[in-house]
Amino acid sequence: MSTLGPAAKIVEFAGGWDEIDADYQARGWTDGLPIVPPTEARVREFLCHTKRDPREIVGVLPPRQGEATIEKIAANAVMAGCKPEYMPVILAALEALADPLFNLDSVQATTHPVAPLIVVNGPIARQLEINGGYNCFGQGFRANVTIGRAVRLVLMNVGGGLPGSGDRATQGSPAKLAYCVAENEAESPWEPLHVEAGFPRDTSVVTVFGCEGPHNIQDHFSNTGLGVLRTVAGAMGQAGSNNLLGWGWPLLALGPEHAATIARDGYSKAKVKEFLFEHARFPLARLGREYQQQQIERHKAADAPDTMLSIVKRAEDISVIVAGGAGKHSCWQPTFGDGTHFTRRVVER
Amino acid sequence: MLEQRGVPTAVMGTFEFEQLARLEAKNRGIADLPLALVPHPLGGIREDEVVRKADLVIEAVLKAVTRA
Repeated sequence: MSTLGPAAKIVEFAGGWDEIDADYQARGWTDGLPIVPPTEARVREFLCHTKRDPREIVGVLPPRQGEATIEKIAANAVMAGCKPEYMPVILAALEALADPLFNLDSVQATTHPVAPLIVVNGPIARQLEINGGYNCFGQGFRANVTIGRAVRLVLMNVGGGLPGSGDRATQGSPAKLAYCVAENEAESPWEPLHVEAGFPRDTSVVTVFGCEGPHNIQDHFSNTGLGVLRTVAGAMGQAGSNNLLGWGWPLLALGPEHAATIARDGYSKAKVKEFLFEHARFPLARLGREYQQQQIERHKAADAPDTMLSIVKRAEDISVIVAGGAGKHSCWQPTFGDGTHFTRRVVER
Repeated sequence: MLEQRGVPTAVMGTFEFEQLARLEAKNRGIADLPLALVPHPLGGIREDEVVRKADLVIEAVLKAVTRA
């Protein structure tokens, strides 16, 4: 039997929405945006979308070691503006985030601008209209924005990831407001992320990455897979990312047109990863001396003029998805480094 | 975690992150975890400053790791 946490507290308000929102803002229970009041009726409606006990603890979230119960998650999902049917995706995402492999302790508290990116694969992405096409990392799609926001509110209100205390991000990132996307499986020339991991195509799976916001990779000129891959490698092999500092598990989100060009020229996903492992590198000699020293001592990099530094330990440490609409843009997401590994959970309905 | 396994531990950091360190220690049930704190920052400083900051906390670190 699962461990049960405390029942959520009921707060009574005399006024209307203005008073409720003002109180939530004053208590610091929001991300800065107005909230939808989590009334008992609304929360109950969300609880209908899971078979689990409302008091079941989905995860214990640092730094507060807050017990994220189903009921508290539902309340935050209401606040975020979710539809009730988004609940299974939110629960899977939070379970994945609470996995020790993800290292939520560091992701919550670090100075690095890391955010949990929720990648959704399988039929539920289409059923809930989670966008994996045009502007998929941007505005305009309720499922993407509110699922991401619900997870952020839980990390703040239950986990205690509050800016300046439990969350010590130096600058943070807009990705910390909401960061959820579907893979564009229909336009991917390769097996999607969850199939690559061994799941049947019709299984819905959430994968979470501890990563930065998207870094754009523009290439309007290459008409060969090799050409596009050279541009991608140039963008990923940059100074300043945590992956160059300490490896880890970065993500590449190829736009469908770039992916099609690369695949047409005979590259499988595995070959893309191998190419990037070899070529997404930065010359040691172009770093300042102190940073060079760190690479030489920590990564045993050869102190030589032609040393090239890799951003991962192995080719397979790079994840690749296809996302977006028409156009010659892709993006990559540097991750927190070797301190956080992506994790995944099947979406249970 | 090391502390909970009985390994005497001294956590080094800067005063800038004291609040976070105390919050995390308290929430993990080790509110009395000794902290050896120096003025911010630790990264990006010259060697002479590293030595000067180490001098400020060496006693506190020794005390933390040698206590019974």
